[in-house]
This record gives sequence, C-alpha cells and structure tokens, in this order.
Amino acid sequence: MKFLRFLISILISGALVYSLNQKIGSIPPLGKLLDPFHGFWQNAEHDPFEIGFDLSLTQLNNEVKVQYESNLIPHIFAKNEYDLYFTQGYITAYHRLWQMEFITFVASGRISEVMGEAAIDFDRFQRRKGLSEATERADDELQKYPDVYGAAVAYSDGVNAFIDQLSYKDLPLEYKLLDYLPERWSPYKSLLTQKYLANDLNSDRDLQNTNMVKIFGKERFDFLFPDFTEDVDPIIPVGTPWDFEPIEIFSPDNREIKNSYSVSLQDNYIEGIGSNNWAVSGSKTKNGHAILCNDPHLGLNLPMIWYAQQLQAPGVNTFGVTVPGVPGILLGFNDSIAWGATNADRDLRDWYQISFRDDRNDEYSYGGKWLKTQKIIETIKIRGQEDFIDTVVYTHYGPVVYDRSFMGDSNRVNLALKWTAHNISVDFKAFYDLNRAGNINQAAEACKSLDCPPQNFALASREGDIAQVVQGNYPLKWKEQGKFIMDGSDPNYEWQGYIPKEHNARIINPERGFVSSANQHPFNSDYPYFYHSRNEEHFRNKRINSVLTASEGITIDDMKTLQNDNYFTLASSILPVMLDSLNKGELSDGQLQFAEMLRGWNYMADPEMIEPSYFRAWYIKMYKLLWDEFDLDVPVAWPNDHTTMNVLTKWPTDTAFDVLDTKEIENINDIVTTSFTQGIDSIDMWMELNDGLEPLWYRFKNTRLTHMTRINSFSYSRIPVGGYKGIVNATGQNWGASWRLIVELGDEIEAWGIYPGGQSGNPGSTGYDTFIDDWAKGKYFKIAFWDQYREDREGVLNISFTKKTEEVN
Amino acid sequence: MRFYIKIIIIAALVYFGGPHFGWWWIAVSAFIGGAILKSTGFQSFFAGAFGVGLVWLWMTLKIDIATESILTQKIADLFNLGQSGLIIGITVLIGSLVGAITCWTGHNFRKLFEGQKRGYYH
Repeated sequence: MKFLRFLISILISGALVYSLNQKIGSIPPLGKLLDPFHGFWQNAEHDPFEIGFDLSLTQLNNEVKVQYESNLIPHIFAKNEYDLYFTQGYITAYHRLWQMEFITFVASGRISEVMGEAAIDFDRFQRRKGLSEATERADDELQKYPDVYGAAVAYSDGVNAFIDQLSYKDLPLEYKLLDYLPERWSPYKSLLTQKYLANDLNSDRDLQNTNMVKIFGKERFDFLFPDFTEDVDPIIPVGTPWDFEPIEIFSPDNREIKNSYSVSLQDNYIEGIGSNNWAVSGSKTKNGHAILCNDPHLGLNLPMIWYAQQLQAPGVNTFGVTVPGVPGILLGFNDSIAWGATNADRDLRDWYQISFRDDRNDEYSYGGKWLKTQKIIETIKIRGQEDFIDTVVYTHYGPVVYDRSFMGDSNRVNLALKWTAHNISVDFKAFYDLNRAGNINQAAEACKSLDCPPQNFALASREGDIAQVVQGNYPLKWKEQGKFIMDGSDPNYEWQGYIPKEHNARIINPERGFVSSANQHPFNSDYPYFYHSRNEEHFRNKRINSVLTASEGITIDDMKTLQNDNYFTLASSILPVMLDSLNKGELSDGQLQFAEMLRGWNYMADPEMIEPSYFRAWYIKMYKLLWDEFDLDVPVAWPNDHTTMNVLTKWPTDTAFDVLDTKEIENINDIVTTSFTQGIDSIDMWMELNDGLEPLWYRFKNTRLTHMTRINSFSYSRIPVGGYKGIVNATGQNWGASWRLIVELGDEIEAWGIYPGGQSGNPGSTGYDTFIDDWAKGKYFKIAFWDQYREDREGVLNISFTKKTEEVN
Repeated sequence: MRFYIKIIIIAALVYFGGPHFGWWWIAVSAFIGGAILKSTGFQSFFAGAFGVGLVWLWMTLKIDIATESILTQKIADLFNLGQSGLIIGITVLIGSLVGAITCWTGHNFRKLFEGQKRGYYH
C-alpha cells in the first residue's frame, strides 16, 4: 500500500515536471518559462546598461574600448580590424541574437523547425528559390578577399564568443517562448542575411504579366502597364548624354505568348518597399557644405532591421546602421564621405517553362537536345513531426520552383527561376570599401562591387562633391525579354550576358546642385538597354525634385522637414477630378458635406487629419470598381496608382469605367459617385467598430511595428505618424521609413538619425522601443561621431573588452 | 511547528539553490523537504506548496517592481491574462503545484522506511 502510494506520487511528480518542461502545442514549457530564477523573468531588465558577462576573451588581440550612449548606441574603439569586427559581432549578438539568427532561418527556409508544420510551404518556397545553394558559392568566392572575409570571420567569432557564454537564464526571450537554442554563427550566415535582403528587395511580375496578356490582349496590357510614361522624372536627369558604346543585342523573331498559368503564386512583394536618398551640393546649402539624406522604406518589424553603431580602428572610422548579422556599416558615413542607398530593382528574376522528357524529371528539352537535370534533396525539419523531404530539380537556368509537387495545378507547369541573386558576387566588399572611402571617386569605385540587390547610391564628401551611382548586376535583354514567362527549351530566350558595370550610369556634381533617387525609372527611354521593373515610383521622386529645385540656403532642419513631408501628390492630382465628377444629385446633404471638406483639403497626409482617411477610403472603393476586371481566379497584377491617375485625368471614356457585374455601361461619374458613397459607408463602419473614434489618419491607416513572431504584446499599432505610399514620408501600414539619416559634411561632421525601434531586441528592455515616439513625431537624435576614445565623456557607459591570457599551470 | 520548519527548509533550498540549478530544482527541494521531517501527507502537501510558492512570489514581485512590470505585462497579454498580476499568480501557482506534489512524494518516500522501522521497534 505504502509502496503503491509512493509509486503513484512519484509518477505524478515525474509527469508534472516532464510536461512543464515541454512545449505542448503552442504553449511554451511553462515550468522553464515561469521559473523566476531562469525563465522569462530574467529577461526583464532592471537596467539596460547592466552587462553581466565576462568580457575578458581569449580571441582578442588587444584591449577594445566601447562607449555606450544612453540610447544604447555603442562606439567601438579597437586597435586592429579583427578586434573591431569581433566586438561588433559580440555586441550585436548581445542585443539582437534571436533576430539575427531568425533572419537566417527565414532566408534558408527553416521556419518549420521552430514554428511547426504551418510554415512548410513557406520553407519549401524559400528553398526552391535556391538562395542557400547560392550562399555557399558566395562564401567560397568571398574567401578570395582576405580583408573582407576576415571581417566576416572576426564578426562570427564575436557572435560565437557571446553564444558560448549563454546559459538558459540569459537566452533571448524568444528562444524561451519558442523553446529552442541558438546555433553557432558563421560567415555563411552573414551571407545568408544578405540574400535575405536580396529576396526582400527583388520582385517580378512575369507570371501575372503572362496571364494578363492572354486575358486582356497585348495592346491593352501595354496601355495599362507601360514601360515608360511621358512624365518620367528619372534618377539620371533627362538629356544626360551616354558616354559609352552599347553592346549589340540579338533579338529573336518569334515571341508568342502561348500559355496562361493558374499556379498558387507565392509572392513576397510588399508594395510600399522602396526608399529615398538625395545629396545636396554646398552651392545650395546655408553653410556651403554638402548634405546627404537617406531613408530606406522597409517592412516595419520589431526588432527593427537596423542596428546603429560607430566602428573605429586604424584605417576606418565610420558610423551608421547595419542589419544584425552583417559586419561593418551598410548605410552611414565615415570621416570623409557619406552614403545612402535606395532599391534599384529591375526585373532580375525571369521564369522559364521547362519541358521534361518524362515524369522522372531527369532530362529537359533544350535546343533540340535533352539536357540532364540535377536534383537537390531538401530535408525540412518540422517541429514535433517527421522531416519533410523535398526534391528540387535544378536546370542550367536555376531551380524549378513551381511544379506538380509545389503549387502547380498540372503536369505542364514547370517553372525554373533564373535570378541574379544566384550569381557569385562579393557584395560585402562594396560596403567594406565604402566604410573606408576617402573621397567621392573612391566611394563610387567601392559601389562597383555590389551586384545584388542593386542599389542607387547617393554619395557626398567633405570635399564638397556629390554623386548618384546606379549600381548592380543587370542582365542584358532584348526588348521585353523576361517580362513574360519564356520557353526554356529555346536557346534564343537565354540572357545574353550582363550590362557592363561601366554602362551603369552615374552622375557627379550635376549643374542642378543635387542628386536624388526614389525608386523611379533610373533613366529615360533613351537609355540604350532595355529594362523594366515591377512598379516604378512616380510621385515621391517628383516631390523631392521639385522641393530641392526650389530650395536655396538649405539647412539640416529643411532636410528633416523634407524627409517627413506628408504632401499627398496622388491626391492632389486626382481629387479635383473626382470631386468634379460626382453626380451631386444622387448624394445627400450629409454626404455633400464630406465632399466640401475634401475640397478644402491642403493635401497633407498629417496624422491628426481626417481628410486623408476619407480620401483613402474613397480611393480604395473607386480603385476596386474601376479595375473590377482584374478580380480573377488566376494570378494577375492590378494597375498602379499612376495608371489610375491617368485614367481619371486623361482618359475619361476608357472601358475600365464599366463595371462588368452590371448591365449598364458605367461612366466616370457613376464610378466616382458610387465609390464616394461606399467610401463614406466604410468610414462609418470603421467608426462603429472603433467605438465612435474620430477617423484620424493615423488611426485609420494604422501604422504598425510588428514583432517578427507576430506576438501582439511585443508589437505596436496605431503609431501616430502621417504619410503613405507615394508620399516622401512613405509610411504605410506595415512598411515605412526604417531609418532616417541626415549628414552635413563640414569640417565637423554633423549628423542626425532615427529609426522606429530601439537598440535592444529584448521586449523586456527599456531599450526595445527607445526611438519609436520621436520617430513618429519626425524628430531625430543627434549622432555622436567621435574621433577617438576619451575616458571622461559624460553620460556614457565605458566598457572594456580585454584579452584573456590562458592560465599556465 | 514541523510544518513551519518544513516550509523554511524547502524555501531555503529553493532560494539558495535556485540560481544554480534548472527550474526542476524546486521538485528536488520539495522532495527533500518532504522526506527529511516527519509529518502528515496533508501537511507535506501544503508545506511544499508554501515553500516553493513563497520564494517564487518574493522573486517575481521583486523583479516586477524593479522593472515596473515592463515584461510582466507583455507576457500577461501574450497569455490573454490582461492584468500583470495574473502572470505572477500563475507562476506562483505552478511553482506551488510542483512543490506540493513533489513534497508529498518525498513524504511518501519517507513512509516506505518509517513502516520498516516500526516493524523493528514495535
């Protein structure tokens, strides 16, 4: 009896302890997690400055001094490069370890390992795009550049030194909640981070284009999706002569589009992704110094994708931000130059229809012969389940992403991806060299190492030079090549090499006194090579250029105002037409009041205004009615805002105005009036759902900063910030100005920056959200850029990393 | 009296051993506390609950106050608990439950030998 009682009680005890030590479904291991000595409680920080680790490390060559500002920005002073990047890796891991590792899991398709089976399709898609395989080749190539690779190795050693010191108690919170452990870091993972960026910043529309041509005809497609419009305001100003002899390109005759495709398209395109940069020459500034500005618009997540720091060692002194996982500084300045980048995406991803010989997918047709495929087995680990085995077939173009086993609806769909991100490149070298560039020419030369993702670099120097460099590895294509899915069995459809880097246009010290880019067309249609992109910007660039053209005596404050400019160019272009087209007789007095309110609007999308909410609500409804013919079961793209503006303002009799679902033939007045009523109704509904709150723009728009796990309580919503897509302050729901930098390059460099987040990735730290409020208000922190380490600086935390000498017995 | 001494022994083991071992140390502590002093099973159960629960309550309150609930509130929201106090309550409840069951188990362990001893002397 006693024994039985003991047996039962010990079994219950064992089962209890065992189950509280396990993740069950989505419930974390509660025993481990709630233990006040080691669980999540230990992630609540008393003082974000408290660094409870042994900073005496055997790998260091010399002592490294680190000074933390109160906002947790570190300034690292090292005596050699190894120590510099080692310490950068250590400190970045200290603040952002979970984020940096999670990014590599996203890039390499390993989310199921952490999150379980819900992520299988995502992981398969990531792997089928072939980024891990390309990263391995990039790793081999980078080793040919010992300085650059050395930085990646040192960084990696620093991250690992931190990981080696971690016990469960010190693990970042997310590991405890999701119940897994960090792996060791390596230069390969840093390179994966860079592929993650390429994946985020590159997109294409080939499959949708193909379907649209089949459905609407080529003429209509060209009309609604033109490569150029008459009002382009390109990065390289119209009329700039080309100082090179273009390469001849062969163009095949027969380019019939044969099929349409009804695959379940996996599209990672976020419409608001983009950026602004500009540099103003001293001739236009108050102090006579060049000023550089940059604000990349990326997905708004927490921890924010940027980590700010100053890095100093003999031969390099630079401040800026980098993505956790990438050594050095990606965007920033040094003691001689400043640089800022915007995405320079073109159609870098092309799709080839592959004709396999049989179901074994061992051979495919090419130029009348059968070529052999290569198969890579991808083993996807799934939490709590058996591994998923996916066989990815590689052709000479690249991996077959869509086929009968993945998202394809028939045996006929076999789409291979050719993408410049698969090519061998040494992109890190561009940033390594930019960190050290001493003048504008060295900076422009440094940019040349960047292949993918292509960027437009605005550059400015203390010597007073400014430049804009369009940089990337762009395929050489005949007109319209790769705009549609191509026949992979026909060698005529091959890319014909790449546009020589010397033919990537750049502009130095232009007469107009400034350079700028905002993801618009890089060149006018007279550029000798064909290019097109998914969605070139038409609004931000014009606003920036018109403000800069009109400005003289520019100050840093003027630049802050421009980066936070909320002028809604789209609204200013189409709202008058929309208002004039209303059938007033069909509207109630109450509705007409809203029309009057909009007529008095100054077109500013400020956070506390209601006009932008009413405009936006109306515009969405009108857009859906106007383009209702695009509401189809197969993947298509919808016309962009610029085309929508053109239809409204220039082509009032276009067939788009007819709504297909109705018997009547609608005209512009019908569409505008119906959507106006619908828009007001949708605002009323929004107010009902929100307890009668006034639909102020920031509330209606709802800019969010979402934690990468999508955990709500680690996220922020309804951030009181204005702006929108197509506005210089391009801040939408889940994308926006992820980093704002202004640098005036005088004798003393004066720089200001801000990003929506905080240096600490820990939701339990006061450093998690440090900058969010100021960012929303359009404020900046003044960047401290120090020429050397000084012990007696006030308001900083001094830390020393010291070399640990092995104890000899 | 033994009841209180039991609580103090368990609490001391949890408090001083906690930082050095995994969370399962509370089970070991309560088991030891249940086994080394004679008492009823009922008393052991509650001594285990209080021994662990009081230390965990003290620790969580200390952290919660020092950090102004910065994380307590977020974790409470994560579990849809609303108030940060509830996550303290659940932490203490789970610690107490493990303490109670394992202390009772320790008591039952002791009983195995008590029975034999009784056989010798009576």
